[in-house]
Amino acid sequence: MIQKKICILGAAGVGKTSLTAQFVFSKFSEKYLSSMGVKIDRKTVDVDGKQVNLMLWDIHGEEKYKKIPTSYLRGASGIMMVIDGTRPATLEMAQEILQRVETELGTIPHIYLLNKSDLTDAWSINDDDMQMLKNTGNPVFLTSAKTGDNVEASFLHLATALVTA
Amino acid sequence: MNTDKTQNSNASMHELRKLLFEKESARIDKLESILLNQGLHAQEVAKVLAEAVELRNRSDEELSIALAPTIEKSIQASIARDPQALSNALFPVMGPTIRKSIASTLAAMLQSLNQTLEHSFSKQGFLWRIEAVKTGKSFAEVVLLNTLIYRVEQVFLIHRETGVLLHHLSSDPTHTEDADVVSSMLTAVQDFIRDSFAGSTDQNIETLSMGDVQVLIEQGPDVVLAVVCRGNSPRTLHETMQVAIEDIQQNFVDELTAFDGDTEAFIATDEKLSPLLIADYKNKTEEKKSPLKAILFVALMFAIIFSWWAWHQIEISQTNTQWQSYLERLKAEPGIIVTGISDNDDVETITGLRDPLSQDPKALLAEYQLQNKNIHFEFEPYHALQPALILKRVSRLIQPPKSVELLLEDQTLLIRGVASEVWLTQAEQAALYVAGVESIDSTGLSILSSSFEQKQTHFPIKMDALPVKPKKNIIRKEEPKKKVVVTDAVILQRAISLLKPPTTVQMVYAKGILYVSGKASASWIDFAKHNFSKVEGIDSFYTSNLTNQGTKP
Repeated sequence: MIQKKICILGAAGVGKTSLTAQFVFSKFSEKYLSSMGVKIDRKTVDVDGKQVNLMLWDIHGEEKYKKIPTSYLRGASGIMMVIDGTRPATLEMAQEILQRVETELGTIPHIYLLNKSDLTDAWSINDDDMQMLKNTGNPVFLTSAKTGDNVEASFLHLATALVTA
Repeated sequence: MNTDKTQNSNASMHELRKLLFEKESARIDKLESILLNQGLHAQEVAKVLAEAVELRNRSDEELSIALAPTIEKSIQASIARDPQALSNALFPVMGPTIRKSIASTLAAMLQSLNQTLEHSFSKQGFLWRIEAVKTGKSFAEVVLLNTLIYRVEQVFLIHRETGVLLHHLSSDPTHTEDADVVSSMLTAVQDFIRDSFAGSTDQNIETLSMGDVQVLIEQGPDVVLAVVCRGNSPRTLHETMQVAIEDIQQNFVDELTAFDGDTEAFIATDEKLSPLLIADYKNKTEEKKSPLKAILFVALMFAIIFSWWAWHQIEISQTNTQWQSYLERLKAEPGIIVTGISDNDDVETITGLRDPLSQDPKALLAEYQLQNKNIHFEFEPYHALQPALILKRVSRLIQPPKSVELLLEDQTLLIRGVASEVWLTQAEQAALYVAGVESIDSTGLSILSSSFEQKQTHFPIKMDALPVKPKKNIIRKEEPKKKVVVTDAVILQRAISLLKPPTTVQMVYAKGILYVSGKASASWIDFAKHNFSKVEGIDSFYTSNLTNQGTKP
């Protein structure tokens, strides 16, 4: 069995836990997030006929005075960077987090999830921002934890990329 | 002209080519036929296939990977076609494996049973049972708390950098489903504690403790070994864990260096980790003695259960015998016809017909000790024509005096003895109403004289209430026989009935004289003297041998 550690990162309130909850059935309650800053779930997916165990580390949202502890990211095979599509500030915070991770741990494969795509009226990420993300060479997904749109597809995409790399 | 020249030139070229390349052309044709013939291909490949497979297997595992799906499909097809063939092929392998697994499971069960029996029936076990009742814990829990020094319940081999679970062992094989999540969380907890309190990656957590459960953690360069231990683990357990880590680091150096998430290679660490699944109990020496006690107790229990069962069987057998006897008796009883016997929910139901004058079936139960049996009777009433019951019915109707005997012969009622004319007349009329009595024969009956008729019991039948008299035969004595000769014995009997002498008095009658002897009270002697003449046929009363014993009667 292949096992991969995947960290789900992003600013506070972007919907990381909701995205994970859409994808897995949790064993641990969310109180671990508030107390320890991390909650771990598992999801087994099928990639090209191989069973892959994704260990999903849902890490608490980054805030001004509450930085993500990089020790939780050590050994991660991939990162899902979640951005709130209705709050452009979360895009900047995502870039800051990635920069810090790269400085401390080196480059880790990652994908961008522009979450809350169901809130079309409040959508604030413009085409330039989207293009900027795409230009990094990393996949970008428009997701909705509420409707489930693209959630499974994004996880599967990252799993496939990690296994076939 | 030009055309002719060209044709001549082509023919010459063809001729020239034939002369120069005839042999080569034939060889090319032969090679072409080989290439196009599929059958010849298979033959050629077959010659080198075994060598080719062997060579490729030596260089890499691509051939195995490529063949795997085909082999899987072949096996599926084989099973679908004939499961017996594969079953036969695997039998020599599967048999020993299954036996080994069953033996291992049974051994574990026996060990557990021995331990439970030992602790259940010893003095200590009794005290623990009281403790269990007082504390509200289960008995097994109390035994464990009192006997277990420590037990390693789970072993986690974790990749240090990623927190990925490399291998997991558990004393309870069913308790493994979330080991990978627990492993990651354990890593996160260590990171959290280290980040929060230690501040240096060199410092490691050695023990996490909660109640009597401890998580002992040992770190290696690439792996972390964590064991979940219940009870008081010895310090030597850390050393054992460290030795296991060193062993794994040394033997799996390539797998750990190239680790990319595939944990398959670490299944082989099983033999190095399984010695860590250990337990230590108190009173080991006593445990060795325990099986004898346990066996004796179990044997005693079996003996008690068997005795109870045997006694119960005997009781059932006796009850059945009595029940059968009772039914036989009931079937033979006059005036009872048993038509059915059913058993429903431990209630026996007897159905049939019963003459109200027959024996009561319930009264018979006590005779067969079946009072406690749950029996329900459903008898419909009917009139039985058995002689005994006809006589009973006639007797109830005509109520004969004690001096009369009734018999039934061929539906004829025979009346014998002594009775009054009035009674006989009414009895004859009433008896013919009873089914089974076709005629009456009273030729054996002596008719009392009219003076005696007044002393007869009043006949209870209201003759007016009876329907019209049935036409049946009544045979009577001739009219002159109405005056009967009363014998000495009858006269004596009448005298005794009238005078009621005490037991100390003897009376003899002969030729009109009543001889009285013995001892009697003065009052009785006086009463006898005044009343003896009321008995017809007694003319005098002889009392010379009678002694007066006082006034007491």
